[in-house]
Amino acid sequence: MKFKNTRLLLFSILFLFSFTRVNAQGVEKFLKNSQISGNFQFDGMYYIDDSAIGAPDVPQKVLMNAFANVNYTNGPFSAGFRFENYLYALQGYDPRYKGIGIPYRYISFEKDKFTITVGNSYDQFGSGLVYRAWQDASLGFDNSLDGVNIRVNPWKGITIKGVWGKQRFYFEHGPGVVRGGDAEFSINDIFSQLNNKQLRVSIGGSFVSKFQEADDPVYKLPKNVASYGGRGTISYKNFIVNGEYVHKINDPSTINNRIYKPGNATFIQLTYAQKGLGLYLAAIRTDNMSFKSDRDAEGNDLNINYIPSMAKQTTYSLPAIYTYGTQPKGEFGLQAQGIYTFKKKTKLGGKYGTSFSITYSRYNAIHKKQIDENTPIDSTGTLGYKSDYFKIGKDVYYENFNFEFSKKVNKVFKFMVDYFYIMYNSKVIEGHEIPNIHSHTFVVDMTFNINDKHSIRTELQHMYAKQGEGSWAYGMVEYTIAPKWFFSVSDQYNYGNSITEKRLHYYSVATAFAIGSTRIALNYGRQRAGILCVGGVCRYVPAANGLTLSITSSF
Amino acid sequence: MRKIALFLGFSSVVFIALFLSCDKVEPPYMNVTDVSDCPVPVFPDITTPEKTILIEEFTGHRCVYCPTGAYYLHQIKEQSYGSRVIILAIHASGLADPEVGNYDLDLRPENHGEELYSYFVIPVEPQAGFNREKIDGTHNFYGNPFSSWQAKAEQVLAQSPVITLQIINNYDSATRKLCSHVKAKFLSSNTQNLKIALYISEDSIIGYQSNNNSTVGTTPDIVDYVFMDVMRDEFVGTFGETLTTGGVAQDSAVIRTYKKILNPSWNDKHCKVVAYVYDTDTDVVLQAAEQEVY
Repeated sequence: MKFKNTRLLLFSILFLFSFTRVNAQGVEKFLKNSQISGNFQFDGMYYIDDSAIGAPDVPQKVLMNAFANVNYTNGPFSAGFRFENYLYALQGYDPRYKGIGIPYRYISFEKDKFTITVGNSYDQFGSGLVYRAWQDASLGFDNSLDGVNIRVNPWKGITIKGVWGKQRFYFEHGPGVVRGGDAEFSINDIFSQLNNKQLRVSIGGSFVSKFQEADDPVYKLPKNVASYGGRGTISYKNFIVNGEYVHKINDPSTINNRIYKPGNATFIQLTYAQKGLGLYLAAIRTDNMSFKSDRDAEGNDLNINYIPSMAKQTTYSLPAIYTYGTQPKGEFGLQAQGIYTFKKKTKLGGKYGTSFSITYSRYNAIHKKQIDENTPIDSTGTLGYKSDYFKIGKDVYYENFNFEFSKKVNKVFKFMVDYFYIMYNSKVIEGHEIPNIHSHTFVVDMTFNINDKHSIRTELQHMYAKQGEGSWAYGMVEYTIAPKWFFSVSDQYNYGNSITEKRLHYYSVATAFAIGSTRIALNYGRQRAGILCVGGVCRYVPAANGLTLSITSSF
Repeated sequence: MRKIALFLGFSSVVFIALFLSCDKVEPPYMNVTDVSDCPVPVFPDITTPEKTILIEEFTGHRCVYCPTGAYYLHQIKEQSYGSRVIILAIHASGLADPEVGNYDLDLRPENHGEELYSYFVIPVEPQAGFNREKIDGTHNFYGNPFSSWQAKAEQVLAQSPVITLQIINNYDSATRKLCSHVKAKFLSSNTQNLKIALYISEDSIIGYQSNNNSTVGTTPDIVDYVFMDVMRDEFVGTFGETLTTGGVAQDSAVIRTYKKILNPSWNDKHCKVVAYVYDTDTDVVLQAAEQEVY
């Protein structure tokens, strides 16, 4: 399979070259227009036994993930591939990432308003509620579609897209076929008399259908399941409002407990922006909107769509312990955010400017009630439940209030202060049978620029919580000698754990060296068990202790 | 402009073709299994009806107290009441999730365990239900102290049976086709709304189990723990199917036949069929039975 992919790519390139008239000028032009780019990443870890933190035994002792992207472009033509190597995959990545191969390769060209891609492609319709093919190496997530992707702009302001193929499933394909189309119309661009109006309107619609064989002796399963929706965006002066509504027909699956209730989702965003001020309000309601190309798939496998997250993401270690993962069976979420930057050379703005932001996000269950008095909610082989669209479920899944203040005091010193209140329903998000966690975290992030080359950054964090693993403290010092060297020392201390033996230090020592676009990093330390989330999509990271080597490079 | 019109027309046709690619399923959503190849046998008479008890035990391989709970349950079965005790070990919750490494065994019965776990609002594992009776007047399921479980089982077993339940299995090991015939006979007239549920369970599965009690095994892990009575799959949904809806006369009987192809990953020599009849209004199990597949 893997060799077949490689041979196919090489054959295709040679096939295209065979139509090229070869002469000296042609070769010169061809070479002049040719561009090759790419990047490489290696992450290897030597695991040390550490039963205190619950690190699992690693028989191989050393594990690694590596990949390299290579892209070739020549005018309207482009081709590329990604080589991937998991021998064996790092702890926390799905063990089905095993071996060596080229699971991603494509050829693409643009001609006569068409952009045609064959092979693997990434794309998104609207906000992704119907279709999103994307990849994130840190999550170990890749649902690229292997097949055909066609995009056409028949008229200014009109974009039509079509996709047809099978989804990547580790080093194989998923069993289902995905077919879909999307059309977007920018009204102001289509009608020239509206080009310069301040009121701008665009509308769009998507349709995606999956096909999977069904021969289940117990359940009557639909072989073709479709999801479709419409969307619109209106902007006027400083305001932008956009919304999307999607619907999915009966799709009994492992995720929804094989219920036959149709799914739906609504996503609305309102943005106001002017110099120094930004306001954002968003709400999402999803009901049974897991949409996968394999009805038996679990976790993040073979997602066709994507549910946007309303939870604020942070890179700070302690508040990131409790990060929200979107719930495919249903949720109601909202986010409100305000950012204000004081003008420079004012009392509050100072010489270099001051800004603060407030963010609030919350997730609740959707309302559910039994379809009749004898059928419990979510019973397999039934409609599952009834849901009043305008009622919100009682269970709170997640709540986050964040205040952030940042100021550059002078050329030498700048700082940032953050406060996070997070309510985390561990039972829903992680499946742990513990009470809801209420945490309060303060972060102070300070940077001292000693001179143009030397700088020190410190992070001091404290989380107070009575539930879960209790309170934590964190300290970190980074020393950077630009542009090549980087050193850091950090420690996370779970001093408030109710179990004395688990009051542990998660220390870490790291260094990195950069040569041009290549960076080599070495880290020794402990990693706590938890979940890592990007945009509401999460993976479990087990506890680990060891030495990590990372190399990244690009060309 | 003509090109655009042609293109939009073509796109519309493609969209309509895709739109028609929908299979809307009408109820009932589950197939009625054809059991014409499962001839119904003659059930022997039961001369001395006995009350039986279904003990549903919510457990997980990462649950450190679960080996102790299982130990007490098997004491009840093996040393006290034998075949009158039917155990179903339901591996559910995050503690039952398979993990990379030693705890990679997946003993969860698809979604059925989670459904029951959610339905009965299980707070922590292990928890055991004794015919789901609210023995303390409040709860259907009970945790520690495990030493109190025997008294609870005895309280249920002391009741008189209201129905008898028999299972006869016909199994073809070549095709792994299992025909299960169940007979429920009413010992008195009955007005309850009753359902019958059937499950496959499997014994003697070896794997890692967390443990904190050195009297029942090594700590913190029992590397070769023998999992018994593991709920594997259902025949007629997690909550079963309707058996009667009231107005049943004394001595009347209902015979039902079910069919299933056993999963090749299960050891059929260690598999059993567990059947129970329960009141849909109270969830209380009236009678249970189990029978080996072989």
